[in-house]
Amino acid sequence: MSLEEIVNELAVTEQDQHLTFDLSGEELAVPVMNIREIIRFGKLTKMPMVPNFIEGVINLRGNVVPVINLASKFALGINNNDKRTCIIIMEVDIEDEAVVMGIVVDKVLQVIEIPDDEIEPTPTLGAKIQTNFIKGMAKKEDGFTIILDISQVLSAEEVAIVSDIHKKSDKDDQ
Amino acid sequence: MEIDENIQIFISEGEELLQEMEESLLELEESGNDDEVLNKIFRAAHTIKGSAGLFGFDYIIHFTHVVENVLDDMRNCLIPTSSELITVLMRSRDYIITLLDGIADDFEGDKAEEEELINLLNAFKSSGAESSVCETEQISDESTSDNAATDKSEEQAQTNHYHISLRLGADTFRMGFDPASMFRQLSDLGEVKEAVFIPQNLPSLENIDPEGCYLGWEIALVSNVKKEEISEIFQFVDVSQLTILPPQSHFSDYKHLIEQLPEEEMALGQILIETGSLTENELQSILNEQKEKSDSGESPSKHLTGDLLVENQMVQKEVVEEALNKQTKVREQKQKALTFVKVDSSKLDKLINLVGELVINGAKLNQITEDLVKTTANEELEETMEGLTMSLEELREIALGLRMVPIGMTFNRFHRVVRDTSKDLDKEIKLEIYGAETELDKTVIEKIGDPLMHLIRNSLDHGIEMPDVRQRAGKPSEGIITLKAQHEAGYITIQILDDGKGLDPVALRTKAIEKGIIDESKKLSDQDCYNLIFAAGFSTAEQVSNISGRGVGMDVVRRNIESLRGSVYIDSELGIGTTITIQLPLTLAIIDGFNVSIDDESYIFPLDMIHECLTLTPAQIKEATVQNYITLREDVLPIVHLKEYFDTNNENNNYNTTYMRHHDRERHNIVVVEFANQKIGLIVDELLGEVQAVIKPLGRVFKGLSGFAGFTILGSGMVALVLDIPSLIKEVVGNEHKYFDSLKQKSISSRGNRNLH
Repeated sequence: MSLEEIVNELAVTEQDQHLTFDLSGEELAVPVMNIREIIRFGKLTKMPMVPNFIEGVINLRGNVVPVINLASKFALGINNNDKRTCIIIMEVDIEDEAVVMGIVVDKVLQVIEIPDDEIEPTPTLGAKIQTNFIKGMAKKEDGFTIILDISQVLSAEEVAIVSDIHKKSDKDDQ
Repeated sequence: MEIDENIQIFISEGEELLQEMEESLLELEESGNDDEVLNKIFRAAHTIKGSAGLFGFDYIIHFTHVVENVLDDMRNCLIPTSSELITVLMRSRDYIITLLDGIADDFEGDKAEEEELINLLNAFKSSGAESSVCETEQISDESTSDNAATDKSEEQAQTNHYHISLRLGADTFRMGFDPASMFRQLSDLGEVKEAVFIPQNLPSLENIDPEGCYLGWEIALVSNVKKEEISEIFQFVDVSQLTILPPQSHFSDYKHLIEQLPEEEMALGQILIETGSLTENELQSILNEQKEKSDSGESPSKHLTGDLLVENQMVQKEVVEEALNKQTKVREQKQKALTFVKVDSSKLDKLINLVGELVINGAKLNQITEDLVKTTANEELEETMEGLTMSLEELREIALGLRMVPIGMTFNRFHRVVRDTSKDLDKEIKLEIYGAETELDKTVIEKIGDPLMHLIRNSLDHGIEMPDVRQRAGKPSEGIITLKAQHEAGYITIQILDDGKGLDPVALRTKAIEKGIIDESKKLSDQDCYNLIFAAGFSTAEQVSNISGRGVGMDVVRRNIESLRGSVYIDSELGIGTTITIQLPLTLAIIDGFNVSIDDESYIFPLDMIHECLTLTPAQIKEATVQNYITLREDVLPIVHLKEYFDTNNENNNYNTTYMRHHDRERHNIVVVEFANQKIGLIVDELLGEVQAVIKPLGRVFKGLSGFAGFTILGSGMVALVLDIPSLIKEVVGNEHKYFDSLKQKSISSRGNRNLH
């Protein structure tokens, strides 16, 4: 499926719809509800003094949007940036505040419908990704698609690591 | 109650007037009976009463009327000005504020408080007796009786009602005035016996202005109020012509009225008869007399209206003067209206945001043009772009200027606080203000009020000692709190100085240990001890008073100031006083920046923090590779290799080790920044030049990142970080003591100066 086709399909937002993408060889899915748009990976501005999983920031029509490298966050190895590398712009609620962030993925695959009752619980073992980031698994012909719990991935606690650096240096001062 | 636009204006104007009233009351307390100031206070109360009448807020009228009466007696020297009276007037002022604030909630005030205030006010009124308390010349009775003598020679009309001749101005409706309210007020004063409607200058249908007002009336009012009370009703009305003739006026007055009015004499005469103001005979004799006069060549129009009125004994001289004053005042107000426009501040914010976007796109366009001109040499394009850039620059300046307001308004609020609080505490404290004209972004001003209030209350409560304590310490019994504002390189500095007892670092430390804020083993400099005040849960007052001392404030104060990208420092000398210094950026929106690159990323320095940019000499490069400072013109300049600082912090390493610098890239450029007398050099890769940066907040994700003021978007569309030099200096140099020492020098020298006078 081409990017354009996927974008078109995204226009029809349904509760059960999920976007699947490839990240360092893993097939992952996020709910379409949280997706604002998908853009091609371009030049980012790197941020100093932040954890490695923060890839940088981009200018999205005048708004500065942080971009997170999930591969780095999940320790899945390096993304191979090529023409198909995308940034999925997502909107998540962090402490009742809508925060827009981007995640870098190797390529987007397709939009699939996964009804809630078909989502299987997360196995305690076997997944490469920390289980608290996983909402569940969905069966497909040749295995499983991991559905990310996106609010967890981009949650306050996770993002707050950035603030921690600051707090740490504050303590050093005292 | 639903608040429409007009009521909103009434409320905000009322609040402004009450603000002025408060300032004037304080002035009055200092200067004693000053006519000018008293008039100002009276006018404020009077205007509010008048405007309240327009909207039918009878309860506001009721209360302000009592206040106004007392003020009027003060003006007429029947009541002496006293501190107690001022306190009651202050309370009354506050009560009116609550009334205004209550309009939205249909709250008509606390009746018990109202009654108490009215009783207090009336007590002053009756205690004033009839004797005059100041030496202002009274209008001599002699002259009036003289006038009365001449009166008899003139014939009087045999009516027992007022005749009011009114022509409304064309703008009446556009000014949002409802003539019906005027009649309502007239009916309050007496009985409107007759009102004859006069359409004035009504144009033909196709020329009619649908929003214009062509109304006029001849009104007969039976009432025994004073003439001034009637004229007050019309004070706020756009009146093109108004004559009020008291009962039994002279023929000449009617004659004059008829001459003045644009309508035909006969028609007008008929109307006067209709309203019962004149009998037919009376009218006839007036018209005859007028004819004689014009025959004899004497033109009444040559007289000034005021002279004529006095000449005809129609009004007392005093009244004319007042009316003339009123006219001048109204004229002044009209001029003011021309120079000031009230704008919804959200519109302003929108405009400034838009200008920000425009500036970004302008910079982008400029860059594209530059690239294009290199290849095509299109002179016209280049010139147009230059012109556009200049206009944009100007637009930006103006747009930002719109938001700049002097800090004086905020400062003046504290006069009242100092007065009331020092009374409550039985202390003698004077507030001195310097630099009230210093301008600051409105958003900053709005947010700095509360922290300032808190700091001042602290100085009042904890700083300044009781008068007897002060005298024993050899200080004047009156303490001084000084509020100072001044500009300093892109920042504004606000200082609160008091000459009180100062802070005791030992006591502060003990207290902090007691409260478990610090560990007993921890060593602290005096400076560190002072800063303990800003720690959460710290309060030094032995007794918790209602002024301050709940110990929740100071950490909030610091947070509030820091949220404005500002900083606060405290310095003190035991027994001499305390100085609190707040530094704030002038604006939060757009800055002039200087673009540098570090590791291929752009970073923006606020231009006004930059002292100079240098290229290092080989000797300095050598220095810079082995130590954290270089020698610059025989001075030692601490330096920071920004790339390394950023990188090392990335891995959470300690930054203090000096090690051989990697020379993978020639880093020869150094930006010397200065903040509060502290200079440091920041080593960067390349100097890219000046840019205008619209600062965007760091946002939820990066808000913990210190050393940066925000993001900006460059002409290329790339995002760049804007450096926050003060916090960077603080973070990087870790050399706070040197910084504070320099501040200390400053504040001590300024305090020394103050003690001289």
